[in-house]
Amino acid sequence: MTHYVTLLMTLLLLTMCASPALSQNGNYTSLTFKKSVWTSSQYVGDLSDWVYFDEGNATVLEYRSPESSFSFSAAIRESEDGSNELESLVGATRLGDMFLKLETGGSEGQLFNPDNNEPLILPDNKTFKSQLNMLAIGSNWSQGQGVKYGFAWVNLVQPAEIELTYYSVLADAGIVGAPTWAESAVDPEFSNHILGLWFDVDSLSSFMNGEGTFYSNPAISGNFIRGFALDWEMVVGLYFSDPSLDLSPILKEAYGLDYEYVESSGLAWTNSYKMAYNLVYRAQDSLSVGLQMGIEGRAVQTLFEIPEDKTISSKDQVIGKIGIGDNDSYQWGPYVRLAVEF
Amino acid sequence: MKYVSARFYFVLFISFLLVACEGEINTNENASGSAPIPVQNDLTDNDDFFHAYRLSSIPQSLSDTLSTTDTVDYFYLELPLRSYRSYSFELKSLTGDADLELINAYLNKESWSENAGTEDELIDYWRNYTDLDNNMVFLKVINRSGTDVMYTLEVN
Repeated sequence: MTHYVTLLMTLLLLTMCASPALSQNGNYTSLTFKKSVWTSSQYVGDLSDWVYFDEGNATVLEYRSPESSFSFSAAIRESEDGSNELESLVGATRLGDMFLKLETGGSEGQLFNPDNNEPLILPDNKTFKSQLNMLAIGSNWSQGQGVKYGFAWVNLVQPAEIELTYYSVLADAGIVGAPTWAESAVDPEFSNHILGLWFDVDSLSSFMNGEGTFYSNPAISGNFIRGFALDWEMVVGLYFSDPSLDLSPILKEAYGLDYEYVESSGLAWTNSYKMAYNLVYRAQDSLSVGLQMGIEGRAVQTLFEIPEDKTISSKDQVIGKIGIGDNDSYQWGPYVRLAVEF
Repeated sequence: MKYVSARFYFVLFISFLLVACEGEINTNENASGSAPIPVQNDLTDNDDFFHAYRLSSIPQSLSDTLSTTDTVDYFYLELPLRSYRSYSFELKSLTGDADLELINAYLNKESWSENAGTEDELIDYWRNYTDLDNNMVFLKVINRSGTDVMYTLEVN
């Protein structure tokens, strides 16, 4: 509860500080309540059986001035056990003609192998912290419609399945006296990077300026503007990765084998969508009040991997590699967003 | 028409990307060298699974010491085939706090005993026919005190 008070005070402070400079530019403030869920249910392969995320509620506070100089958003996540943590922090500013956006968020979780007769390498520490960070630089599209575009860097940290390959003759039998060879290992905080093109469609701020977006249907009735919309943020580009867990000592101590990791890179994308209903009241040109309700979701997916073939060269070697799709991520949840622009 | 065309090329581009492609890791029948052989007869070097000390018979009792640098000892045991019964693994005569874990051949923890202080640690393990696909188990003795700990391990 303390966090909510802090957020509200921050909102008021930012509004007061920004008002003189932004009264001519469209000062935009919003407060969002949402159910925040990191889910492993759509993981490819067996990872969904081994990864368990905490669920939680999030509050998002946003201060933004799309045509001016400053934007801020923060989210406090309340876990089921009642504890609070800073889930995301989003800031944006305008440098000359450029729009800068910074976002960071995350969720905690646990690893568990429910099948006692399934060989699997798990780290000693079964807890992890997933994170999604993004830095975007771009500008507003000259045609308006709530569109921004540019370049972005996305960093997703989350569990990933590392597939293990052994010398063929022993692959099934293993070595007598050693534990059964595991086909997979779980890296709890595998880091994925995407560097590429970014664009963002925001219908609520567009509605509040009396405009629609690509995927919206605004209906104007007096001072009211309402309608459904699909908001969309996307980054697509080069993908490369960085494992957090060194499997070398684990595989050496379990099987006496030497470990080699094969890097993974290629193309990936992240999609963030909001299926929303907007209701905006425009008192005058200088004041708009908006309400947005909807479902928010985000997916991060590897689309294409630069192929790199490897062959086991010696009988005491094991090669690890992440499979395409074994590090996908999905988040979703309903939300309500209140906004005012003046 | 201009928008339709743009959307068409966008969908085409995404479809191209979704044609997944990845490298392959090949096993090799002609791999060089030799497969490593576990070392299971050295009580001074039994700090991991591959060097777990082999308990060759049941019942058996042996004594060893953990220190501040040698904090874990591993033991390896092949349970008799077609013998469905209860086994007990016990740490006795402790001079400090130590815990005992039973780990199966798939590196998953089957059971554990974590009593405080010098209290004995005991794991009773019922092995039935469903466990027959692999009869190996590992015992892990862990030093939980900040000093040397002597112990006696009994398997019955």
